[in-house]
Amino acid sequence: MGRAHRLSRALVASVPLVVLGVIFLYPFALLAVEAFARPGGGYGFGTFAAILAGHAFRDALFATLRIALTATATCLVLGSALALLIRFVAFPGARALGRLVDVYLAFPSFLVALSLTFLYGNSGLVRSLWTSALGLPAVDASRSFLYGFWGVVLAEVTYYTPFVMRPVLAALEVIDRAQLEVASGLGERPWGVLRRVVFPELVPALIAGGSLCLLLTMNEFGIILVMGVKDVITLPMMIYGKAIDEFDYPAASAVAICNVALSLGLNFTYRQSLERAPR
Amino acid sequence: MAESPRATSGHDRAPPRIRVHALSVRYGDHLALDRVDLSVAAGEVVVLLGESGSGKTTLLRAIAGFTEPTAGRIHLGSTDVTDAPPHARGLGLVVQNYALFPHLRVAENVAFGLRARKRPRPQIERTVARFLEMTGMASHARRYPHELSGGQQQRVAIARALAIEPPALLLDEPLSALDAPLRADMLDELRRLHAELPQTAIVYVTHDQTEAIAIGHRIVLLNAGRIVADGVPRDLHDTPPNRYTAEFFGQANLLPVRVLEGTADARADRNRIAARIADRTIWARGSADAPRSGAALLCVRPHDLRIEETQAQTPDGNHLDGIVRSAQWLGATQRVVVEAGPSTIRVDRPASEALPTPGARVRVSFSADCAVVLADR
Repeated sequence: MGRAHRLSRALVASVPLVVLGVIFLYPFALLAVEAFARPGGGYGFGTFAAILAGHAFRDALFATLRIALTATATCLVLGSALALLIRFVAFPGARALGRLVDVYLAFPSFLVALSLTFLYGNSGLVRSLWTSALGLPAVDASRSFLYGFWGVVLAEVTYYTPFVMRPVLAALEVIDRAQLEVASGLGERPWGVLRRVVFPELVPALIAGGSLCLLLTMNEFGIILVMGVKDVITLPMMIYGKAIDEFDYPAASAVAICNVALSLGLNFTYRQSLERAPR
Repeated sequence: MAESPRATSGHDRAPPRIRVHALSVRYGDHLALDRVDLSVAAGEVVVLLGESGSGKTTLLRAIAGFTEPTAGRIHLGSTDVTDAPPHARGLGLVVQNYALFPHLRVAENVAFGLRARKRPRPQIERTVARFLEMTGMASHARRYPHELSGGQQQRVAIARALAIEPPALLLDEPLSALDAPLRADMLDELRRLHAELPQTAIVYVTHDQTEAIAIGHRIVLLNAGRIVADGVPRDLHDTPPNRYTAEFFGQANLLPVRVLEGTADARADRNRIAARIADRTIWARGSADAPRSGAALLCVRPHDLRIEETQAQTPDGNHLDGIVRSAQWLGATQRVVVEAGPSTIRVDRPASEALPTPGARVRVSFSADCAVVLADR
């Protein structure tokens, strides 16, 4: 019985490993092979060297980081402010709004992009109001702020702010109201209580929410694609362009490997900082 | 109404540290506080005592500024603070679960109020060191709250409240989260701290009468949002003004009696009232507003009763005859329950005496000094 038991246990344990191998590791290995393969046969860093040396890659890397950092910083500020409002300002529907955040997290990100184009886009509500209702001269659609850096940031902030609100709301929930009362009893004004008592207890939540935001905004693809932004090329857009438009699979794979390395590095830093955060 | 000796000596002309006038607090349909008056002098320890929902915590929170009164005024010294926010009142607050700031070390917790007041750094350091020393927490200054025991956390919370040197310290069930032996130690500690800061007024909220008696110069007993008694602990215990007070303090026997008209002050030397119970006339002291005739209650504490032979002579002729229903040994004492006519009487005796047999006929006697006639309300 013992041996049969061990065997069945081994079988059960191997199922997830096989699945993981087939659906995740194998495609990833193919990607790596593609990136490191030399055109004439054998392997090397040739494709990488060519990609890394080019302006396109550096521009895309820079654009990715700039968008991700701007969007994340805005998400942190906006998300904290909204979470504080929901928790501490007793306005009607505050609790419902808190629950709505959870629902919002389930939306696909490109829906936000789509709705933004309805609002600010070529034939969007704002533009039609601008020209028809206010009688102002039409603005060239391609110069709408939506089709550049700030459009992408706006869309990403709209979509990713709840990712900060969720952990911040959870952290606010466990702060003892008595602490806030004692702090104000000791003579601290509301802003001081926020700064000296509430904020320090939110740090782990801000690290968690901010890192998640940074990771997701760096890899964001759906929003940028749906918005049809012309002059903003991020790493995911570059991978897409290389693979789909130029059929340059080795280059696409090399950029993808860089993107994965960046994400893993960020994930590692996030875990480290979370462990070191005060409790 | 009796004042504590400390409160009256030398501070007669100063306004009270806290003065609450006709304060009401309403939560929707529920009247949590109903026209409450309270005055706390410098150096006085006033205990707000009552069951949960009596309004004691609401009163404390209104004084601290966390609960907005529906009507009435609150003065601190000569300043009307009814509409002032909590941070402008400058009262030290200690709560049941300590509410230490988890991200700050012990010394930083104690310094919190001083930093809020923008005191110069050397002064902050001196004050923090002084109060950590006073509460015996100096050696833990660099620790974080989660590294401390419950008792230590409460010492830090007290040091933090005292560090701003408030005119009054508000304590909301400060010992409820501690176990019994530690609670007794902390009560001693609080009394010692108050001796070191004799000018600080203290308002202490609790539901525990033992704590109230141990620490209060004065006890204010609340029930259903109203003050039902306000006085020195000894007086409230010995001469409860009403039924609620008598029941709250020490499980008094409350026996229905009829006061005999015209007997108050019948014995010229002391205030004595004669009352009929069963077919006997007994003598007792009268509480301040005891009825002069008609239905009333006789209040006798279990430990003031004696059990005698059925034919025994009793002083004042104060006795009731009955049958022992039960007798239980409780360690230091024994509890005997006697049924005398319609009344059931609890008697606490020293354990050294022989345990009576259930069913035995006995005579329960008491001195007129230990019995009080009071109004049935």
